[in-house]
Amino acid sequence: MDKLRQRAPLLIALALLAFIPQLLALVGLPGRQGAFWLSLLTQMLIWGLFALSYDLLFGYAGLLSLGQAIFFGLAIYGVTLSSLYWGFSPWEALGSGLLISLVGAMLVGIVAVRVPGHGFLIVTAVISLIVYLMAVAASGWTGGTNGVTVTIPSLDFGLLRLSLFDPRQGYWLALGLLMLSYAALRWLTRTPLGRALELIRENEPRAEALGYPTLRLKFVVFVISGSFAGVAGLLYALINQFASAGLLQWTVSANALIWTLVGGAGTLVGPLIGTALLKFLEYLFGGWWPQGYPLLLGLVLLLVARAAPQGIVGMLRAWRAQRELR
Amino acid sequence: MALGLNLIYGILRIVNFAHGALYMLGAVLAWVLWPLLGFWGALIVAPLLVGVLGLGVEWLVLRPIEGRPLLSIIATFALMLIIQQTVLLSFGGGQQQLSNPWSWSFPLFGLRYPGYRLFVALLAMLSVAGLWLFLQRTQVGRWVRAVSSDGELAAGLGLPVPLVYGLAFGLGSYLAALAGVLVAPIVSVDYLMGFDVLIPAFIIVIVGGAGSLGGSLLVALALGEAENLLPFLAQPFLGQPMQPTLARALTLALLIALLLFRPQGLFGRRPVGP
Repeated sequence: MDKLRQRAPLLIALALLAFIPQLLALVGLPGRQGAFWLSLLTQMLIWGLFALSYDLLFGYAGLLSLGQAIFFGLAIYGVTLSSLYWGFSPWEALGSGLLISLVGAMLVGIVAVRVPGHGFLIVTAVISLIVYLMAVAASGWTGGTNGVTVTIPSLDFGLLRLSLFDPRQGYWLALGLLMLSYAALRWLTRTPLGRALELIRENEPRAEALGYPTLRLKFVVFVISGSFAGVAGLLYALINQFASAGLLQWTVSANALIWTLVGGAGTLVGPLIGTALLKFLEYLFGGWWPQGYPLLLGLVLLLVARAAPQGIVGMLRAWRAQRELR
Repeated sequence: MALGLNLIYGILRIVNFAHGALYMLGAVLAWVLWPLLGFWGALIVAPLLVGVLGLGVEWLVLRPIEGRPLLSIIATFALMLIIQQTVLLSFGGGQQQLSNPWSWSFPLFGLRYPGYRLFVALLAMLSVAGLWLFLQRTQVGRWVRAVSSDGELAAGLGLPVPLVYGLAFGLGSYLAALAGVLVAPIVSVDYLMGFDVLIPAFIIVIVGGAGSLGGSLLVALALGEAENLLPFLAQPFLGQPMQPTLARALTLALLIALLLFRPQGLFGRRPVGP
């Protein structure tokens, strides 16, 4: 009973999210406007999944990486290019996208986790830059910064056939995939592996002294988190049907860092909230004062770093804990 | 450019994302001050302004979260965004081309080599020498090195550690802006120019070894040379000159490969303690 009460907010939120397409139609926003809001929500879900994968790396293992976008972008390119040039079926394309991001994460991980301290941050950023430059150099193939588009009309689940052109079905696909990934990551953080990662974050020399193979653990979490970024990339490719070299840049990873931090690092829910909030703000500013958004972002970040390093979820938790004490 | 970054990184152990923005700020200020003060005036005033700004930023933003490197990194990232957008809003997003302050050139290997570039190279060498002398020979320089090798011990000995932090950040900012002013006539100036140099500057510091000026310098030179030479070296194999973006990617990949064998950098010592 207690457990159910603890999870109630999450379940209610999930139920609400699942019926949003119907709700939008109910409040009289059908047609084009409703579709617009729905697609904004879908984008939030995609980027939320990306931020989720980042939180495993940064929030739990304490690894500040700027290379997360590599695996996101590799998966997107894996899907689009393989179906564009080799005529892969959607499932084959998805498989190759996931595979390439997994292999990419292993290759980058082998190098990056060895570099001590903040060298890790820089090495991941530089590898991100290298991959980006290579994608630009191969413009004829990858479309460079202008990108390439691909058409994947539908995804066949046997009994069910999802049309990717229908915004509602795309939305449900994104929501379903996000929820599955959330559950998987939530489970992962509660395993001994997850606990060991938190120990590494808090005190690496001690973890080492206790006999944990810290290098190997960091490598494993890097690959797992990179694969989840890859899953986010698959989703992006399916829904936006577009790939561009810009998606590989380190600034994309920096966005995930910002969303995670503002929402609350190491909470898994936080990154989702942070992504939704900041994506919404970005949309608001986009129509009104596009140059102002990065300025606001900078100020918000300074504020978070100075006053609330635990983020929104962390603040809520502290507030609730205090209320229960009284 | 990389010198200032190395100073900040080596001493404060902070990855400074605002560095590219400060470099850009130097170049933009050069463009603004040029008509008022002339080139020499801009060369002296702009870095000083940015250096003072760096001092202020360190005191206002970084001091309160000292000792929490993750937050400090994020704060510098926020500063980068703020500086970039402020410049964009106040000076616009267009590219500016500054005229060359010296028009004379001299022949070098059959090419006309602009004299201004020689001047830049000379001044860069002078800055390196000056920084080295400052760190090795002066009292304050000795403090800086002490704080760099062990901040807690230095504080225990009664050294003004916060002052040293501020000074290092200010000086680093000054050097970034100096680099910005110097390259302003060579490249086109716009609010995003700091972006392109930031990551290469980082890798220079890491591969050269944090806190090692000589290492930074050597790697910076090697990076520049390799980027220019690779396209020609690859020509026989490819049958055509290599694309500059690919050459840059390859050079960076080589530097990363170096880190596999020496994770602490070429001239860095293993960090002591956590």
